[in-house]
Amino acid sequence: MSLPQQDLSRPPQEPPGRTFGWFIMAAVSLALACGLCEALASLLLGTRQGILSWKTGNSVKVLIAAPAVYLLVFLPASTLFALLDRALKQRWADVAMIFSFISLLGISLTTLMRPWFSAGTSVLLGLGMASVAIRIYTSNRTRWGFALVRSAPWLVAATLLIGVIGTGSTAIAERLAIARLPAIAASAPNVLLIVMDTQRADHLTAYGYSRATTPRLGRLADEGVSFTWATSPAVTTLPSHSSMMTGQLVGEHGAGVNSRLFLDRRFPTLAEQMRGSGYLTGGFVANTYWTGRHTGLNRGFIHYEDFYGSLMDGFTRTVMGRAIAYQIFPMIGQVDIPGRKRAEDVNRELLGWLDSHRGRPFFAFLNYFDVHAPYRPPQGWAGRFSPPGDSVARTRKIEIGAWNEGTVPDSAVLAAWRDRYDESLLYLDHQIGVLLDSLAARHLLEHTIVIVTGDHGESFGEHGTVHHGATLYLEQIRVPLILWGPGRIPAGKRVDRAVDLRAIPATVLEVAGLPAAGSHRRSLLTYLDPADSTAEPAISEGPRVPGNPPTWQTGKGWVKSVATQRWHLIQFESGNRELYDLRADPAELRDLAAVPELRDTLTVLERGLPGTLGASSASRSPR
Amino acid sequence: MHLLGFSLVLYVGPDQILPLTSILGAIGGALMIFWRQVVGLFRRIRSVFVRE
Repeated sequence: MSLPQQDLSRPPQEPPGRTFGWFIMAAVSLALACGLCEALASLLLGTRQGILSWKTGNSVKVLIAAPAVYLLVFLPASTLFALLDRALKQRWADVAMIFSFISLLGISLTTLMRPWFSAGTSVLLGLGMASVAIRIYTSNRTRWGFALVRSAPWLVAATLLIGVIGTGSTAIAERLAIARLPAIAASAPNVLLIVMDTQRADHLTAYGYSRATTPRLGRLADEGVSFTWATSPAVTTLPSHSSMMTGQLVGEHGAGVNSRLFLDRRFPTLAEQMRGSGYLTGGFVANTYWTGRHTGLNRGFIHYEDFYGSLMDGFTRTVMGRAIAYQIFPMIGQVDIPGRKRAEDVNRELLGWLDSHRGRPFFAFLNYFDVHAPYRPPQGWAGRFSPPGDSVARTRKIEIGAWNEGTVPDSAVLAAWRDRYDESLLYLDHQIGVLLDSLAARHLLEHTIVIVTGDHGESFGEHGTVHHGATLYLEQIRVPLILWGPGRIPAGKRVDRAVDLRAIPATVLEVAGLPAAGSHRRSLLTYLDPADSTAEPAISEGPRVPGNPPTWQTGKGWVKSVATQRWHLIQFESGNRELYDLRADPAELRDLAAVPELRDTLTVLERGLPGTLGASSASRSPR
Repeated sequence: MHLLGFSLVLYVGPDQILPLTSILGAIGGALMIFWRQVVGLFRRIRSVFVRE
């Protein structure tokens, strides 16, 4: 069909009238085209680590999600423009609609490139793109209006095709990866690594807490080995998980250091080693901010479930969806994390994956996000510890924690936070029990080694801080650590020597009967030998985070600490030190660094600390 | 001169990139918005120096 032509040398034509149907069809075309543009930009930017920010990680499912979100926004908007067109009879509503939609696309695309463009520049570029589009459109409104409507069915077909090919290719790639796995003995045990995000040790009943928060984990500890002084290598999620996956110090792997918000490829990960030995590897994570695939923690996993756990999460995978979910929804009282993946969702993902891949030993890594701020226990669990009518100050923003302004609320709010944290833990403990029972029903549990830990702790006002990422005091670094495995892990053992989570790769490789290639850490199993009294220092590090409040240790500079069964030394970039006797002063209130009689103790502890503060990875050649 | 160039390369990091690219992006955005006016202005300036 030939399109109407316009001679630009003639005076402008009378603007064509637009029907209601035209507005709808044009909106469909623009929504699908804009959605595909943002999806492709997102995927393209995601191919290079460090460009996408902590909220903007994505997967190939964005090819479906982004057009859908644009449709969700553009279609209702187009009806408004159509009504305006009818009401005002000025015949500019089509121009206004196209200008608005292209502006939104431009702002979205440049917002994705936030490392390069400020918010103001994004708006200017968006308006600029829309201006160019409008100049083209108004050069021949009849022709372009016709083209917009005509392209709608083609764009629908193209979007569906691209979506199916994109998501289908992931499934095919996984099948090929499984087919290429080397042979492995059927007797090799399964390994289930469970990380409870933000779980401090002393809120578990098994670790001496007064509340019955963790009956199921208590049973697991009774039937396995619990490490009473386990510390996390870092006080935020990404560096701590990176240490758990590589066995390296934060200063060595560098994830979370100097604005590098990803784990680079220099060190082999535990998942890579397990996969290389024939294990089926799967990661199922709920903290999509800091364990999503954009952080590099998915390296080595054949299957990785992070984003798109719910429709709401899919909505937040686009720039417009995020803006609505994080800025507008809180105004109407929705202050929980949009699309927060609950433990039951993580369990469902894992069990679904296991059901479709039977017959080969698996290594599964789970990250549960239920106890993380904002403290919002699910319905049915809220109120188990908090008094009736308890009121947490109502906010109009999503308080994710860690990255707050550093103010400590009053004691009533802190008490309410603690209650809700414990209620969330009670729910999580129940869900871990549900998962273990489900594995037992599938006859998988008896062949499975279970490791349960946390990536860092959480403060509730201790040492003048809340949440985490602020200090290296015990409330932020001491985490639970339980090993369980019938016939492979001794039952009912407690290890009181200090260990840190860098030992996890060596431990997993040992229980799986695999060589610990490249790992310089000792396995946690070696601590079970009562005759062996040697210990590696338990190290924690806190990189300086620009923007953290100056009242925080990590706001002033790098900080590192070494813990033993009795002592905890914290050393600051400024050269200051703090020393605590954990046996006499577990709350770390009396600094003993200046006590002359403890000078030798201090010297011995200092020898256990990494040589330099800050990233030391440049001097290592790991791979 | 070489030393100056080398120093400038060392100086460019993420903190410097954001303002630089933001300014360039803002100029690009403004140019796209006011393209006709900018072209008109250039034509007028050109007509002062070049007689048709």
